Amino acid sequence: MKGKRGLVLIGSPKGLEGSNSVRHAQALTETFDAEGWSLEWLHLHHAVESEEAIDDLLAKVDRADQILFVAPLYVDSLPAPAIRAFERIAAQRSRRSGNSKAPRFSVLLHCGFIEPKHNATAVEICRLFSEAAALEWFGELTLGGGGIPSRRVRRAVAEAGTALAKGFPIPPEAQKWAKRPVMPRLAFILGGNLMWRRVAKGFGITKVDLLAQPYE
Amino acid sequence: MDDRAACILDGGSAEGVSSEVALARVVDVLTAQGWSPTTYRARDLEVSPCRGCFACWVKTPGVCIIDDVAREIVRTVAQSALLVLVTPVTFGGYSSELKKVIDRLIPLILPYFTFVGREVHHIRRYPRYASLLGVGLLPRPDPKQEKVFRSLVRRNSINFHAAETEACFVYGDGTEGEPSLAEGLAEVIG
Repeated sequence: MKGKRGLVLIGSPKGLEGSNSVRHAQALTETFDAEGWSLEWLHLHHAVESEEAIDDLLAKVDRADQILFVAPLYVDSLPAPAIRAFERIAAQRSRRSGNSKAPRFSVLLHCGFIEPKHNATAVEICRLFSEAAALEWFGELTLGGGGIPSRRVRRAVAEAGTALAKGFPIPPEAQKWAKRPVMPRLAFILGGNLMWRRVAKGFGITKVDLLAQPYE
Repeated sequence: MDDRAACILDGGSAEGVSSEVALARVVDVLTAQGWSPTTYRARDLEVSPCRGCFACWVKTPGVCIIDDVAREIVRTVAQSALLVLVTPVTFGGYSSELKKVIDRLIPLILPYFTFVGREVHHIRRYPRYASLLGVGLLPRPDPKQEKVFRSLVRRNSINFHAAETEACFVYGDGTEGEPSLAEGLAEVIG
C-alpha cells in the first residue's frame, strides 16, 4: 500500500475545519500516513461552485486509489452539493471505456438522531452512486448521536480507518460498534431538547419564541 | 393551510428524462379536482445550499437566515395540503436541483426531539402538514433505484409529518409504473 493516493471528500457545508464530518474524517484517516498514503482533502460545497473547481474534483477522483466520503445526513439523504458532485463524477466516469481503474469508495455518514439507522437510505444512495461511477464499494460506517464522541464511536471509526489504510473494506466489527446507541434514547431526547433550548437562549430566543409558526 | 393548495417542486434537469410530461399530468389531475397548484422549477431558481447553521431553529425560529426564494417556498409548502416532488431518480434519490430546495425546508420542523413510532424524530412546528407525493423520472423501470426512492419518500414523509404519502414513476417513453400517477395522487389527496 506504499505511495497510494487517497481522496477525502467532505460533504458538510461547514468546510474543512470544525465540522463533525472533518473530525470523523481525521479520526478515520489517523493511520493512513503510517501506511504510506498521501491524502488530498476536498470540500464538496466548493468543489461544485464552478466548472474549474469541478474539473479539479474530477481530476482528483481519477488520480485516487481510494476515496473516503464523509458527510452529515441531510433530510434522509446527502447535502445537495454532494449529490451535485456525485452527478458530475458519475457522468464523467460512465462515458469512459471499461478499462479505467476503479478507485475504492467508502462512506462515513453521521446524523443528529440517536439511531444510526436513519442513515440507511443515504447509504443506499451512495452505493448506487458507486455503481454508476464504476467505483469499487469498500463499505460504510453510519453514526448516530449528533457527533457525540463516545468510546464506541471512537472504536468503530478507528477500526474502520485501520482496515481501510491497510487495503481492506470497512469490517463488520466496526459497523457493529457504530450501530450501538451512544446513550439511552430517552436521555438523548431530554438532553438534546435541553441543549437546543440553551443554544436558543444564547441568541435571546425564549421557549415560546422557539415554537414560532411564521407561515401559519 | 389551504385545503386545496398544492406545491409542486420540479427537480428536472435540462438533460435526461424530461419532467414536463409528468408535471403536466400532475397539474391536469389536480386542477380537474379543484386544486390550486403552485410550481417551482428548481433549476431556474437561485437557491443557496443549506449552511447547516440551525439559525432557522435557534436564532430566527421558523425562518431560514438566508434571504432567497427558498423562504417563499417554505411558506408555500407550509400553507399547502399537498407537496409533489418531481425529480429524475438520481442514484435512487432526488436530483441535486431538487435537493437544494428540500435541504432548505427544515424551518418547517422544530429542533426538539420526540418519539415517532419507535424512532427519534423532530417535533412538528405546525399543526398540519402537506401530504407527500414523490414522482420519480427514469429512462426505464429500475427496481433497485425505485426501491431506494420509495424508501426516501417514506422517510421524508415521517420527518415532515406528512399525513399521506406515495411514490410513483414515469418512464422515458411516457409509461408509468405502479401505482400510476393518477392512483398515486388519489392516494395522497383522498
